[in-house]
This record gives sequence, C-alpha cells and structure tokens, in this order.
Amino acid sequence: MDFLAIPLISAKAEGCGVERAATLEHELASLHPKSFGWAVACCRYDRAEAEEVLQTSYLKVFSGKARFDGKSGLKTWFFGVIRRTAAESRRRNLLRSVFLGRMARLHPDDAAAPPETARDLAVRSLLRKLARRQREVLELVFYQDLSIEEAAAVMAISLGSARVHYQRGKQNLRQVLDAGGRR
Amino acid sequence: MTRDEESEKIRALLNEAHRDDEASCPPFQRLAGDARSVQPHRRARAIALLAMAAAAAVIAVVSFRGEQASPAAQPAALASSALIVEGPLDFLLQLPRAAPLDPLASLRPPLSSGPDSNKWR
Repeated sequence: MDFLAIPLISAKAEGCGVERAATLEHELASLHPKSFGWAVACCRYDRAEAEEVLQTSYLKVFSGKARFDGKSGLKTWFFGVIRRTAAESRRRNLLRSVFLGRMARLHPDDAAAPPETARDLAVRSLLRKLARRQREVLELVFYQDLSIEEAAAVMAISLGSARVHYQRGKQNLRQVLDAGGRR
Repeated sequence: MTRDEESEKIRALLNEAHRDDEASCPPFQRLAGDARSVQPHRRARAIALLAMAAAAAVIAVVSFRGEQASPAAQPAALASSALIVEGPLDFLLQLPRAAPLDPLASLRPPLSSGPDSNKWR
C-alpha cells in the first residue's frame, strides 16, 4: 500500500468525525511496522525506547496534540511526529542522566540495554558512527524509501541541507565501511 | 563501485540493522490501546491541575483584598492621621492653672417647674 498516494486527509477540517478518525487509525496501523523501524532509528537502535516513543506519538495523534493538516503525505507527517517525540525523549533522558546519574550508577540494571547479537552490534555500531542527521537521511531514503525531499520534510530542514547530509552521510559511511573492511 | 552498487550496499546494511525489528515490533493494537488508556488519565490530571491553579489564584486574590480592607489596619492609619501637631509657640496658649473665676456658690436652690415652685414667693 503506497501511503503517499493516499488522498490527503485533513483531520483538522470541518466535519472531521469518527469515520475520518477511524480511517486515520487504519492507515497508522498499516504504517505501524515502518513507523517502528523509524522510531528504532531515531532512538539509536534502542527498541525499548523506540516502543515508548511510538506509543507517545500515537498518544499525540489520538489526543489531537499532533494534527495531520494534509500539507504532506501521511507517512512524512507521522515520521516527523516520531522524530520530534524521539528528540523530546532524548532531551528528557539527558536531563535524567544528569540529575539522576548517580542513582543510575547505583542501579545499573534499570538502564541496561536489551541484548543484541554480535552481528547486530557490529552493523549498528557502524551506523552510530555517522552524525545523527546523516544517519537519519540515509535511513529515510534507503530503508524507508522516501525521496530526499520527503526526508527533508520529515527532518524539518531545507532540501539543500538534506542533500548535503545525504552526500556527506554516504561519503562517511563509505569511509567507515572501508575502515571496517581493512581491520 | 558504481552509484547503484553503493546504494544497494547501504540498503543491505540498513536492512541488516533492522533485521529483527519486524519480529520485535509490538502490535499496533497494544500500543494504540495503551495510548488511549493513558489519554484520559492525562486529561484528568490536566483538569485537576487547572482547577488547583484556579483555586490558588482565587485564594490569593481574596486574601490580598482582605488584607487591604482589614479593620486591624484601619486604626493604625487613623492614629497616624490624628496626630496633634504642636507648633513652637503653642505653649503661649496654654493656661497655667484652672480658670480663676469659678462661679460662686448660690444659696438659692435651682429653679424647678414642680408644684412647689412658688413656695418662696
């Protein structure tokens, strides 16, 4: 199902009722696996945090805090919501680590990451070496099959900036892969 | 390496990074259901917070106005305004003793309008 081809839904529009909300929910359900993949990428491949971020994103949509105005595709819009929610979560975690760092050190089990296989770890550590925006634009273009223009809309940056991140991301990934291959 | 080969390599790498995502992806109904169950709690909490803030504002306004119009504050204000200011020459107006000409004692009883009022006539 191509979500970009779906007629634009305006949840803001007059007469937005149960039917439209149900349509939106149905489309979000179809988009769910891809949304989870994007949330994982936004959370630096931490699945537990990605689950929380995705749930908060759904909460924003259902509570009307995030509204689809039809200016872009549904996928682009919802990925933007996920990205913003992940950024909020990152800031919150940073503050928590600053203020409660001592407690986290006393209870390391609470902050433990889920187990990853060695291969997962290797691939993800390669990707983590890229700058966040470079990694995001590559994820959106090569994994989520969005155009660079749509990726720019998701990331809330200009098309020119997205192109620069795209080129630099590819270049840096090439270097990282070469360095990894040489070892 | 051509551009297509490079793209394919990046695509394969990202697919590898997300290999277990589909297996570990939580079901949509659970996340959406949880989000909906959280929503009323948050709304109720927001309403309670708003109500508390409104009550605190009302209490603050009432106490502030009550403090302004409290009777305890008035006597002090009156006392300060009723201070007698004495000038430097006011002592000249003061009498050294009681008035010198006291009225003389009268032997006649005070006049009355009763039935015995014509007794001395």
